[in-house]
Amino acid sequence: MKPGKTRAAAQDLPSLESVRNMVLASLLAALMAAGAWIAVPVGPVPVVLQNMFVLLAGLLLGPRWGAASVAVYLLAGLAGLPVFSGGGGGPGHFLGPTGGYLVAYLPAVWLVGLLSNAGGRVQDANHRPGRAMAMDVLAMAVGMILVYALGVARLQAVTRLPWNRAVALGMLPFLPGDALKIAAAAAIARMARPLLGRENAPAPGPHG
Amino acid sequence: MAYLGPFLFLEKDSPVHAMDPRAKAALLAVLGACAMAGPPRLAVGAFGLALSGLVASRLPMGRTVRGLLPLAPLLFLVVLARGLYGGGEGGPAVGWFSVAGLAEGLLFAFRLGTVAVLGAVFTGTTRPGAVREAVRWFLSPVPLVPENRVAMMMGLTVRLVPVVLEEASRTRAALAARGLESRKNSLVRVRVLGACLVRRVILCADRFSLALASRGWSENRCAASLTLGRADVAAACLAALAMALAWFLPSLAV
Repeated sequence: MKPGKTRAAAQDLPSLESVRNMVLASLLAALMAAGAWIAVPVGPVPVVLQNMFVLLAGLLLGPRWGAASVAVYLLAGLAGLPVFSGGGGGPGHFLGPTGGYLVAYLPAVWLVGLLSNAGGRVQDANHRPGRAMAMDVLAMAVGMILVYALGVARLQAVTRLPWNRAVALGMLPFLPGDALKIAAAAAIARMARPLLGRENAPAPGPHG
Repeated sequence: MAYLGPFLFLEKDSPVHAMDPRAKAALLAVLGACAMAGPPRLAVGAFGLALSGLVASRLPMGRTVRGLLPLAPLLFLVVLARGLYGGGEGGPAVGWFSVAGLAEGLLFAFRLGTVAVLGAVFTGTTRPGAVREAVRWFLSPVPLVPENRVAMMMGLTVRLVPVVLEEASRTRAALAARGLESRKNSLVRVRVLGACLVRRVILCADRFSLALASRGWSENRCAASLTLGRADVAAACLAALAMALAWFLPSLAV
C-alpha cells in the first residue's frame, strides 16, 4: 500500500480512548441485561441488580457514554433480544405497563452522569472525596425519582388504577431495595473509578 | 443462575429460520404491540401466531417451555397483585382478591407470556449477527445516529451477556466459599458481588479495546447483504390475515 493510502486509512481509525469507551458502554449494557438474572437475597426477598448497573453506567461513563450504554441496552430489547427482566424482549415491553420504567432509564442515566460529573469537579477543586460521594448518592436518588415518576405514571395510565394504588404497586415495595442499591453503587463507583483512569487514587479491593 | 437456552440461536432447517431478519423484526414489533396494547382478541391472535411460529421453526418444545419457566413466578405475582389492587370494587371477591382484578391479572399475564414466546421464536431462529445487521438497516435513515457503531455495540452486548452471567456464577461461588453468603449485612453482599463484577468488566473492556484497536477496527466496514424473499412476503400476508380473522371473527359470532 502507498504511504498516502496508509495515512488516510489510519486517519479513519477511531482513537483507543473512543474504542475503550465504546467497549465499556457495551459491557455495561451486558451487565444491565445480565443483572435481570442476578438476584441477591435481601431478607426473604431476592433483589435483582439491573437498575443498580443502570445507575453505575451514569456514574462510571458520564452522561454521554452512560446514555449510549442504556440506549444500546434498550435497543437490544426493542429488537427482540432477551435482555429485559424475566428474559423478555421486543417492542411489546415498551407498550406495556412497565414500559415507563424502561424508557425512563435513558434520561435518568444522563442526569446521574451529569450530576456525578459536577460532583467530581467539586472533588477536584476542593480535594474532598466525601462530597463527591454524597453527590453520587444525590445523583442516583434524583435518577431513581425520575424512573419512578415516569414508570408509575405509565403504570397508572395503562392500568387505570387510582394513583395511590399505582404508587403502592409500582414504587413502595421497591424503595428499600433501591436504597440498598444506591449505597452499594456509590461504594462500587468509588472502587471502580481509579481502574477507569478517572482518578489518580490507587484502586482499593472489592472488600473495601 | 438463569437458563437462557430458549433465547439462544439454534440452527435448524425451517421456513422461520430462512426469513429475512428485518421481516421477522417487523412482525415481532407488530405482533408484540397487538399482544400488549391491543384488545384481547388481537392478543389471542398474536398468541396463535406465536405458537404457529414456534411449531414451524422446529425449535424443541421442551427446551422452550423449560426456558420460559423462570417467567412463571413473575406472571403469578402479576395475577396476585392485580387481584389485590385491581379494579372491581364492590364486585364479587375471593377472600382478599377481587374476581375482576384476578381476571385482569390473568389477561395481562397472558399478554406477557405471548410476548415471551414471540421473543423466544425470534431469538431462537435469528443469528445475533443477523439481528445486528437488521438494526443497522433500520437505523441507517435516522439522522445523527452512527448506525455502524450502534450495531457493533449491540453485537458486543449480546455476545457478552452469557460471559457476564458465567462470570457472575463463578464470582458468587468464590464469594460463597469465603463465607459471604452467610453475612447478614445485605449491603456488603450486594457491594462485594457488584464490585467484583464491575472490576472484571473493566479489565475485560481494556483487553477487548486493545484487541480491537490493534486489529484496526473502524466503523467503515462492509455491511452484510440482506434480501427480502417470497417467504417473507408470504409470512407477512399470513400474519395480516390471521390478525384480521382474530379481529372480525368474534364480532361475527356475536
